Amino acid sequence: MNKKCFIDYETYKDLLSGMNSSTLFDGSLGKNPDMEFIKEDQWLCDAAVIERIVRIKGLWFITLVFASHFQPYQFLIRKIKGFSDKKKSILHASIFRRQAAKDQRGTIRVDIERYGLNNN
Amino acid sequence: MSSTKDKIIESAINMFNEHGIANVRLQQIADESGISVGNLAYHFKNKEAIVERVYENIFKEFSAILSDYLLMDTLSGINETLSKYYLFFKEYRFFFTDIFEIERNYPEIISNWHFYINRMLLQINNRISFDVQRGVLIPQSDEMHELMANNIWMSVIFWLPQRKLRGLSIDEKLFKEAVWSQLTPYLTQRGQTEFVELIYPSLV
Repeated sequence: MNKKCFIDYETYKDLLSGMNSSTLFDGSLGKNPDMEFIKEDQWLCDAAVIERIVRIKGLWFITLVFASHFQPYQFLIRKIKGFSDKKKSILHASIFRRQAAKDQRGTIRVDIERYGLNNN
Repeated sequence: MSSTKDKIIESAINMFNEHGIANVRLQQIADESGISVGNLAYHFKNKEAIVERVYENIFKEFSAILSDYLLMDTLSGINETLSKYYLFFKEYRFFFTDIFEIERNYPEIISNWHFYINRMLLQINNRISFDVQRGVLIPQSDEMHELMANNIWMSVIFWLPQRKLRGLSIDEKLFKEAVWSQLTPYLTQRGQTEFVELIYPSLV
């Protein structure tokens, strides 16, 4: 008979009690502020996404800027990933942007220079 | 697995259930499968090889039942698991009637079996603690929970052999009744309501 790999008795015991406690509902209800993040991040649904490539410590870093159409200075910057090759970075930036943007074909044009962003 | 091998295993399980492992010869298995002994020897070189394969299937099915722990958090979950155990033990009832013979002749199978039995006991024990935390079972000491788990385990495993020993018929409802009777005295008010709503209709 083939030898099989088994977890030991104590680990299995811990696993079962972990499953028990993760399934149990302790009866305390959630509070309204717990769901605030949905309201706070609502504007991101309609935000334009702009890719921005910045050279930081020798790497071409892709940052995505989420800019609101309605509030001129409401935006969010997320640093995604750095590449040593600029061309590769440009290519990946366009892919990341298309993934993140609601407007995937990129017909809405937002000029990044108008935001006057600072690398710091 | 080829279909001939499947057929051989299926016939072997039938023969083991009917006559016990020790009393079955390759010829009988071959006759039951409708093939020649030569053909059977091509697929399995001896009876030990067949027994090993049968046990591989048994352990596979048993671990599938064990992996369904806590699929439902109501008492129906326990009832579902009991149905699965019943079908499993009915299908492979020769194991428990021949347990001492297997222990002598196939020590590796028994050591594997110990592993699964320990898992099963732990699951029953943890399920009891879960239902105590849920407020369905009356809280008891840890020792008492372990005793309850042991008793339930005994009912699940040895219900079929004892019916066979007494020459009585076997039935899923009777099996479930026997196991539930170990738990019902410890149900809280909430547990009793849940039992009457979810489990009782399936027992009558």
